[in-house]
Amino acid sequence: MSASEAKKITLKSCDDIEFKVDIRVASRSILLKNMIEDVGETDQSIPLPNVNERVLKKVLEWCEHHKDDPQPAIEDSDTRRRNTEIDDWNKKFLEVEQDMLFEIILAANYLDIKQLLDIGCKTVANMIKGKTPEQIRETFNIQNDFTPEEEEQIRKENEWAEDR
Amino acid sequence: HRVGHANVTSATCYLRTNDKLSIKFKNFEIQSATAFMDERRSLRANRSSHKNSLWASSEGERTQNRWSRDLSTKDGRRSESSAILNGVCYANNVPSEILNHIFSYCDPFSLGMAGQVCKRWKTLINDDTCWKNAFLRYFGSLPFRLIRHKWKDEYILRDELLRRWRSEQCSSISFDSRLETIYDFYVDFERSWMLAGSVGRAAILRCNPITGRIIKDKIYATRANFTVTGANFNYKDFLPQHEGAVTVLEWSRNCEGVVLSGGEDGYVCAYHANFGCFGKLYSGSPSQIKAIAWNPKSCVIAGTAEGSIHFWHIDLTHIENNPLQWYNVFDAPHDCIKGTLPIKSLHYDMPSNSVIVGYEDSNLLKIYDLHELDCVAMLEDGHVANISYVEYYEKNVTNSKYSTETSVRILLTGDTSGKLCLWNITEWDNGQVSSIKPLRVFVDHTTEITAAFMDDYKLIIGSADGKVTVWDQLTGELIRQFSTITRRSHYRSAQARGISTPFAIKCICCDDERITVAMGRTIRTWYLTSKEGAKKEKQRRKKLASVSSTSKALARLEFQNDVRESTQLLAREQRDREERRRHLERYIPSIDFTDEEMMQYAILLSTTAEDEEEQISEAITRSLSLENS
Repeated sequence: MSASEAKKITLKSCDDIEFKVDIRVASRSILLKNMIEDVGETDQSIPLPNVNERVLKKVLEWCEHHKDDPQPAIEDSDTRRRNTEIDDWNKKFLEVEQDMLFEIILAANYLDIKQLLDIGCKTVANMIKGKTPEQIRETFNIQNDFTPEEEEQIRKENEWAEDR
Repeated sequence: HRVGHANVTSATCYLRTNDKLSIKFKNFEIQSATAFMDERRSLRANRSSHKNSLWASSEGERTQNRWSRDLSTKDGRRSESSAILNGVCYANNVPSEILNHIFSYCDPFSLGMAGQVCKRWKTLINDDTCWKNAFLRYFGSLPFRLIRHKWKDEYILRDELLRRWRSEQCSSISFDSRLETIYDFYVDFERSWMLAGSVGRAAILRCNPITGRIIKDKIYATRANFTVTGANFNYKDFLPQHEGAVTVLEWSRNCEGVVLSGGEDGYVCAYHANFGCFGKLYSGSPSQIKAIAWNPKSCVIAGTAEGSIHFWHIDLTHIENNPLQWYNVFDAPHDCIKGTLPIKSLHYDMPSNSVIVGYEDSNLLKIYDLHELDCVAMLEDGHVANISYVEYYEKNVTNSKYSTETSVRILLTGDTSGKLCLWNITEWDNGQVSSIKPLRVFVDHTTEITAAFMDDYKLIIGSADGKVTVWDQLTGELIRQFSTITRRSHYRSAQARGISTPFAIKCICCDDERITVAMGRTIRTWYLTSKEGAKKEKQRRKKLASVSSTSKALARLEFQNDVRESTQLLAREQRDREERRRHLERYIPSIDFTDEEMMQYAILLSTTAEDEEEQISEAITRSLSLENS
């Protein structure tokens, strides 16, 4: 393992920008990790057609910072616990425009970086928290596609939540 | 563009699901994988170019957004990105899978609100699995028992209850029971009454845990020990069956008519509530019985101070129904497990036909199988200090989907250092001797755990120093802590009477809004005093008032007094009449006699009198003759 630590691989974003990264950094992504394990060392660049340069740069920044974290065990009950607290570094890291945030989430999902996906989703969940439906629509620019009758119906169904 | 985008995301999903199903990328050649991706690349490129143009046009607006963001940070809210970028909705451009992942981080309130945002969100959130995921994420584990049928309701309910216990104001009421140290109690919160029993005074008290009112005419006590004897005596004396003191009493909810007792003499006696003792089981040695566990249908298990566990395979349920079919004395136990450590507690676990054994002055907990008569499991890695408290809970879980019922069994154990462990003994892997690890550990107390109570969502622990803590059962989080400040004079007087831990929490009972504990001779109740709670309480009181409340009880009492008075009056009158009749009878023997009959009667009387005289003289002459001879 120690020999391969210094090894680098090349990733290519969808807009044909190449990134040279440490294998250890790239291994934060389960997708890349499995690929590297299967193929072994390769000088060929790995194309990532779902990620553009801007997002890939950001994701790799995250991987670089978290390269020494222990890999989380899957289905570990402790990590499953809801913890809406996000540590300062990650908070700052995700203080980006909304398109970027969702791009990061999509990229994390595609590259299979569970922790990044989790904190991304937590960030979005925190944006939903404590808002009325109208405020949520405003925040995410979602079109209200209910008819007034439907809306009334839904509001009635959710009366339990209103007197809080 | 929209169609193209949908394709891209579905491709992402496809790759991801493949990966998840562990048909990993391993089996793919990397070239083929990239080839697969290449197919999608053109679509993707399409999209990103579109995006780039979008980007350029919205540069101006972005600065504006930053400004509004700064404003929101000033408000004390966390800064967040907004999506007013040329009217593009990024949130709905992600696959449902990711939206579901986001929703799993939401609290019930947010989920309720998010469900009203748009059709897509509504469909996603209307799915109960969305709530289940959020529940799992929040609590970390599934509940032992579902209170509601839907995960949505379950999540809302639990969150609500926990939130209330965590943050709402609590009032407390405490009152002196005027008994000695309370040994055990029974609380009925619905109807606001409780019974508290004390061994020292040999009395049981009926009172109201909410108001602290002691119902004076409802004190049940033995005549010898208690001065305030109640009006309502309703107890039964059984002839003493043991030689020496009774050390254990056991009763089962499944067989209410039968009580078991264990004594110093090594006997276990079974009593029928109406007919008294009907059976005696002898353990074979005169060693004190320390604990009894039983299943009315199959067995009686007794643990002794010597450390052996004895079994009798008998069915006590048909005795409950045919009490006249008496049993003989069983001399020898049918089975026996020998041991050296004195037994402290026994709990029978019916589904696995095993018994959970706790030992005196030890941190050992073992499970013995009753078929094999061998130790099948050890409860390990929980306690270091000696175990002081063991409680067994069985909860039936109904799976609405398959309408099957399974039971979940939980064991609560507390030790002398103040640690409480929660064990799931529902299933353990079959090994030679399998080891069970604690499900949750609660460490906050510093003195011996003396009582614990578990309901569907919370766990309450009481310790010897009078501290009471409330925990979230699933997450193991401390929700609330109650201190029991008591007067120093109480403490001193209690110590003078030789009670070393006068404020030990002896028993705990709770419902959704109230917790009642008994500590020393005091009974204390904490209750939530929210608007909502107060409203509910008011409604409940109103309902009670119409059905049965103090006014009705008073009316009944008055009525009873009236009845008692009038019956006494009646009795007195009858007695007087009887006396007068007898008085008359002495002089006028009978009322209906004619003169002739009267005459005959007089003659009869005189002759009998003569007869008597004759008899006396005869007796005298006989005695004289005896003397002469």
